[in-house]
Formats: sequence, C-alpha cells, structure tokens
Amino acid sequence: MTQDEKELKKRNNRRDAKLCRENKEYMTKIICYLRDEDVPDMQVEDIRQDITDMLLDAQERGEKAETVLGEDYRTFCGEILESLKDREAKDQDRKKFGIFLMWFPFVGMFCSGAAAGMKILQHTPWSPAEFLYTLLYFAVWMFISAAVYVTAGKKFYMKKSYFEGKRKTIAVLLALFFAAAEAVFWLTGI
Amino acid sequence: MIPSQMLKGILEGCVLKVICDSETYGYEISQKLREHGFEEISEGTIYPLLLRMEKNGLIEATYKASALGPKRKYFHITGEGKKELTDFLTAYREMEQAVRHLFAEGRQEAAEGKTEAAGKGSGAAK
Repeated sequence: MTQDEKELKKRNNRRDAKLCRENKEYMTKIICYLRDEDVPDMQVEDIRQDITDMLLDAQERGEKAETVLGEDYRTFCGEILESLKDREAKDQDRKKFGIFLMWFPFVGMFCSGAAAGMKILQHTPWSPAEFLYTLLYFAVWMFISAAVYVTAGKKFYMKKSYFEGKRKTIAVLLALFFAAAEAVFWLTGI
Repeated sequence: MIPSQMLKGILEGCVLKVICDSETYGYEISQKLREHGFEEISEGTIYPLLLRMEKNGLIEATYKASALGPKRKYFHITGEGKKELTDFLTAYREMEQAVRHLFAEGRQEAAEGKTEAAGKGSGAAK
C-alpha cells in the first residue's frame, strides 16, 4: 500500500466514525461489494471518500442512505462498476506507458552499469567515448522521462508513488550499481 | 415520471449541461434536475455518471470547504466536456425531430383515415 493510499484510508476511517450506525452499515456493504469485485484499493478509497461525504451531507439534512443512494446497494454498486469499466482498458495502457517511462532511466542505469562492468571484467582499456556513451544512454532517458513527467505526467498516471516500498529499494540499488560501476570504470581507465 | 431506461441515455448530457452552467456539486446537481422536472433523481443516480465523466475527462473536480461540515467535491466542465455537450445536443435535436416527425405523420395518417371513412360513410348514405 502506498503512502497516498494509507493517508486516504486513515482520513476515511476518521470521517466514517461520524456516520450514524445505519449509514455506516450501508457504506460497509458498498465497500465490501466493490472489494469483492476486485476494484483496486486506491479506487475503492476514492469512492469511499465521495460516498462518506455524500452520506455526511445527507445526515445533516436528516436523510437516510437509502434515500440518497437507493434502496438496493447492489444496484448502486453495479452502476459504479459499469462506470469504472468504461475506459479501463485505455487507462491501463496509458498507465503502463507511464510506469514504463518512469522506470526507463533505471533500465538505462542498469544497462550503462552493466556495460561499464563488462569492460572492467574484460580488463579492456577505457576509452573516454565509451565512458561518455554509457552515461549518455542513461542521461537521454532521464531527460525524456522527466520531460514527459512535467508536461503530461497526469495523463499517463505518472506518480512518485511508483517508487515507494520495495520499489524504492530496487531503484536505490540500481542507482548504486550504476554509480559504483561508472566510478570503477572511470578509475580503472585512469 | 420518466422511465429509467429512457432517462439513461440523456441524463449524462443533462448533468453535463448543469455543470456547464456553473461549477457545482452532486446534491446541487440533483436538486437542479428536479427543479427542471426530472423527478426522483438522487445523488446516488448521478454519482456513477459523475465518476464516468470525470474518468473520461469531461469534467474535473476540486474540493472546497462548505458551510455545513465536510468539504465538497465541486465539478467544472473541461474543453472535452463542452465538445461532448455540443455533440449531445446535436444528437438529441436530431432524435427529437425524428420522433416529432414520426408522431406528426402518424396523426396525419389517422386524420386522413378519418376523413376517408367519413367520405365513404356519406357516400353510402346517398
């Protein structure tokens, strides 16, 4: 679970506590239904936030969940699922492309590091052009990725959270591998 | 009361129109639709539509503080949404004209049928 998800979940739990028992029960049924249908956690939490707000507003007006969201929660959930499916495939493609772009500099780091490592192992004399080439490969992808992140990051769902948890460790290890290989390559060249 | 199946196709366009008029939130949209004669439209009916429209980039949401308790999610229309609204209106007018034409033709035929029958009736009386 990412940091954003954790924060949202905590906030939702705090807000949920303000719901009356009946509304809370109705809400729980909706959330269980959506989770059973394999809706991603973050999306469920987003929906939970919207519905909690709706129900808190309804409580202020003295209305029940059934009046606002309908007698049968399953019908309501079915309509939500229908809406989510609509552009799912297209969204997934964009998201995958976003993840690919964000991780590409790290693939560049790995390839550059590996190329430098091979040279070290083969005891091949270092050439400045080769050294620059290994750095350039990484730099070009870093630039492309950063440019897309700034200009169209939202469109491709590029999030910093892609580097949280275990992924952060992988990213740090790749960066260290790159830095170490390049440093040794440089030093052996000298 | 408008049957839900009939409503399904046009409600999205109507919600988009309400949002296009001014930045608004779920409950206010349902109230405005009710004022215009769309009975029994609750927030629960329009929430899935808002979700879909937001996902498709037709509307965007911002959270704003409300006087009564929780922050409200306000929606505003995007450029893509405006284009969708124009397309909806064109399609709706086309359909409205076709239905009107069909029913007018039906009425005309019925009227012609009556005149013919009346003519035959008077002929037989002679």
